[in-house]
Amino acid sequence: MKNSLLFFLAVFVFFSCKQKDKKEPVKKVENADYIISKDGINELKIGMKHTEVEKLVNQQFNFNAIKDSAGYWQDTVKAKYKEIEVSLYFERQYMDDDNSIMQLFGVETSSPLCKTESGIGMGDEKSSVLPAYEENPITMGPEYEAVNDTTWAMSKIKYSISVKDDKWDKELIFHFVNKKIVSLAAALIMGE
Amino acid sequence: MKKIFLFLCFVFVSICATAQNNDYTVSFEGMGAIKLGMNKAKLEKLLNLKILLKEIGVGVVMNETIKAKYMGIDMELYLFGDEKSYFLEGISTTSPLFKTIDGIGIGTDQLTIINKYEKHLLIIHPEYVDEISAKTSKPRTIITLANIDNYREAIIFTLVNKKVVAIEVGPTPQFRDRE
Repeated sequence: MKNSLLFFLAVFVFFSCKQKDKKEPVKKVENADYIISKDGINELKIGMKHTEVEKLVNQQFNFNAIKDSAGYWQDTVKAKYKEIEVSLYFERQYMDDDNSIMQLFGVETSSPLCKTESGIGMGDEKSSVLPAYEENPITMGPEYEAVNDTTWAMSKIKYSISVKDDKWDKELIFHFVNKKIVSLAAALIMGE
Repeated sequence: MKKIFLFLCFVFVSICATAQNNDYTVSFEGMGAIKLGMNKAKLEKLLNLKILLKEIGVGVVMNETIKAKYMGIDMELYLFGDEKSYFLEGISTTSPLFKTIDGIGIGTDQLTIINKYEKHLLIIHPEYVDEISAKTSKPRTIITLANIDNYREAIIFTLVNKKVVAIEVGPTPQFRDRE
């Protein structure tokens, strides 16, 4: 009887220890090519010149901003970076009297292949974002939508969380619809 | 007769409770009866004190922090202006009596604030020990709740280990007019 009791006690202790050893499964990023950070998506880096980006995505961009010398200074183009669709946000640079240079100031994607280093991606919820960036400044709030040409209204379903670097130079933006991530973006922070 | 008396007692107690709550309500306008923008005369009358400036007016200094008591509770008042005309720019407390209208106060946890203010702009960051090097204090977090109707007004919560330890009302640091 005493032996049986000792045996059960040993089994209980063994399984208790096993239970403690079990750790929360760490989310693994499936493809390192599509890791997004505040600096961009892998080789697609914020701050690149448009010629460098064209080479990287193997696509010639057709900017309205360059065509119209008087007006536009920003432009958006769609491109394919490896296997994912991306929106690329460019801004005209006025350096050394050469205003033909466009600089990449933002990149956005809705591809499920794209994730942060800690594995946050499409479909994840707000609660997964904050613990991953406790050391960073964060702004979060509802997004605004254009009701008409002159009026904007607070969205009831769209929300965003923006994780900044310490200098508030760059940000990683999580866009939500109905509390689920629908796109990820990296961008330069534009001054007021 | 007894019922009427009980009803009147209930009404009286309710009115007293509401009045007491209002005395400690934190809003974008201030805390209780202390409202941002109040000048020297109004502050001195409300708080029954004589404000003696030590910093404002010295050189180009335009702000000063003073300690005061409001209904027996220690408060910090942030004054801004020049010697002749200064006003209350901000106020802070660590008293558990003060709460927002949504019940957020000392001891509330970070997640409750985030969930409660889904329709507002929240700015969250670790407290900076040194602004220049951006060195942070690990257990201390600042949550700034910016007024959705005017981003320059804020309620600022200081948290230690994700629990509120101090509340401040004042201008949103990230959108200060004068900087």
